[in-house]
Amino acid sequence: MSNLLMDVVDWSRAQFALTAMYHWLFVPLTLGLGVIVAIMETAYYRTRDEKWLATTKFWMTLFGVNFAIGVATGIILEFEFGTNWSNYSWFVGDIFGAPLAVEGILAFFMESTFIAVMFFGWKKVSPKFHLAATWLTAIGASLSALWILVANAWMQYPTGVTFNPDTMRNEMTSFLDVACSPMAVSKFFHTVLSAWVLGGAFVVGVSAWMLLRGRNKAHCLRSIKVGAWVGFVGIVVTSITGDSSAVTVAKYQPMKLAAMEGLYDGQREQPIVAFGILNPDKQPGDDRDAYLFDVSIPYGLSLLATHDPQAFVPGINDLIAGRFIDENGDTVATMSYAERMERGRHAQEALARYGELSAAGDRTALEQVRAEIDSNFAHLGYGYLDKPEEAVPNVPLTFYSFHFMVTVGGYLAVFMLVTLVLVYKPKWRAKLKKTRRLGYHLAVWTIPLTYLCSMSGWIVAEVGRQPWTIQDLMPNKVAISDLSAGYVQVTFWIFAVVFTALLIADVSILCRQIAKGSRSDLDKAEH
Amino acid sequence: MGTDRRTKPGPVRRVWRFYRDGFASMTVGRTLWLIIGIKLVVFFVIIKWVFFPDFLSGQSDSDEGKAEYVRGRMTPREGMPQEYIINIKIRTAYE
Repeated sequence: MSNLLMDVVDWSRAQFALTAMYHWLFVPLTLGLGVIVAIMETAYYRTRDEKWLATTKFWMTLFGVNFAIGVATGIILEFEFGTNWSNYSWFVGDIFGAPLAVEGILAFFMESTFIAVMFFGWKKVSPKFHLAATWLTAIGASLSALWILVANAWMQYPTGVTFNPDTMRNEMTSFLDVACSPMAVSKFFHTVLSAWVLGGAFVVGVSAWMLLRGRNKAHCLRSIKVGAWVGFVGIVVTSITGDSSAVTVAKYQPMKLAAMEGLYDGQREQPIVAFGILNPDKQPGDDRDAYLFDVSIPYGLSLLATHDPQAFVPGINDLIAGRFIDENGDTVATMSYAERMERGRHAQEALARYGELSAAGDRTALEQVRAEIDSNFAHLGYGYLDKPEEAVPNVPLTFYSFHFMVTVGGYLAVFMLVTLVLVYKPKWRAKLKKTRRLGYHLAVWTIPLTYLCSMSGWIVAEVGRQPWTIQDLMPNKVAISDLSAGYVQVTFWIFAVVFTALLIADVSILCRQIAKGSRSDLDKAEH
Repeated sequence: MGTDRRTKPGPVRRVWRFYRDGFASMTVGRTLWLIIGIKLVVFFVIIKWVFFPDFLSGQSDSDEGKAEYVRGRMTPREGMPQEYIINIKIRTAYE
């Protein structure tokens, strides 16, 4: 029975991961390219140079292809909530419903209205109105993402709610706390600005591909200027918000941070691993070394997590044991996971008693039980764990994804900066004539690399918070519906086929449009 | 004034023509709309209708019934140990 239950959980997680990751192949390009197209059209509006118009229309077509094929792929995730994750959907109450409803309204009314003006309105509305529509499409896409990310951030840091044991639902007490939690703010800027990087890498890479074929040089240079600027601003802000994300994670999800670093036993003045190979045999509580090989930067993790180079950063074993080292170097006992499991089970028992007393109408006893629930509610999820180690996520996957993301992020910062320098300095470009084609190839391969970097970020965020569907309150095995594993497997494979077909359609139509653009003379195009 | 009303189409008609002419002038867009149409049919008619019913609605028609169902899933049930024993060995392993 236990194995079967784990199968359902694993298949449901796999299905959600599959659909979310396919969805995320489309979304960041929409977010990034939307801003780039809006900037290009602004350049056309200001200069009235027909070449900017041709460039704008070329990228707008690619934006349209990606938007059209990606649209509604996210709706599948909502289907899964209602069927596969029904306990979660009920328990989370309106916290998830409100942001998703706002997202739906914004996505439908704002994007569908203004995107039509973008594509159909060139000769029907004034240039100013058209430009406004293009910007509003880009802003609308980011606002849609905001509400999804607010909902996701709440799952990582549930705040602004009160649990109602009568309805078994969380009820929102402060929309502001939910929408503006530090987790939501850093997640929004980190995610949306990383999409700008992807949009920038896409534009630079596609332009480099066209330059390899020796066509439309001026169009490509115009495009690369805008793409590299957006990509550079994006990677700088993504780095800054990555730093604030680390502080937030250290505060609210310390186990995730420990997994990101493969840190088992923390210390004050904790170094950060710049490069490392984990010991695959290492388990929580044993005496093995955590790394087979590592290159560390002194004080790095203390600085990243707390902005204090002296600070203690707890590792996996410290968190399980409830061990903390204060500023004097003394070991301080905090609540261990074993204690949290105990308190979580008290909360569960109180919840069960509350249901019985409620049916019997015993109001006085209900008040007492309610107080018991409230005092233990923060630990509710731990009560479902069979052992403390269950609260440890997949360390290798989180660790390697995090380090891949950071390494590629560093590469992208250098790539965008070098691209900007070269595009503005023709003499420097001339000096690098022999390696030019190599540079173009590098730019093309930067596109898939940026996608992998973006995906790695989501793996860190989502795998790193396991086993929780809602941090500390609800593990996956409780959030899941009572379905058979076979049922979920069937829909998993249906989605795998449908989404793969959509991806093939997306890539093939995009490639066809890019090839068509490279064959036409965009610098002399008449419109 | 009267002449203007007869010759200038109303806002609804203008919006209709805007979309109609827009769709009619599309090239790659027709393929995309075909993909969107097929996708929406597959998502909403086949996948949602056949495979993704609202699970809790299948358990109870009322919100009270759904709440009790979820309470049952989230609280100790028959067959589960009534008293949970924290494994002291596990706890001490980390101390």
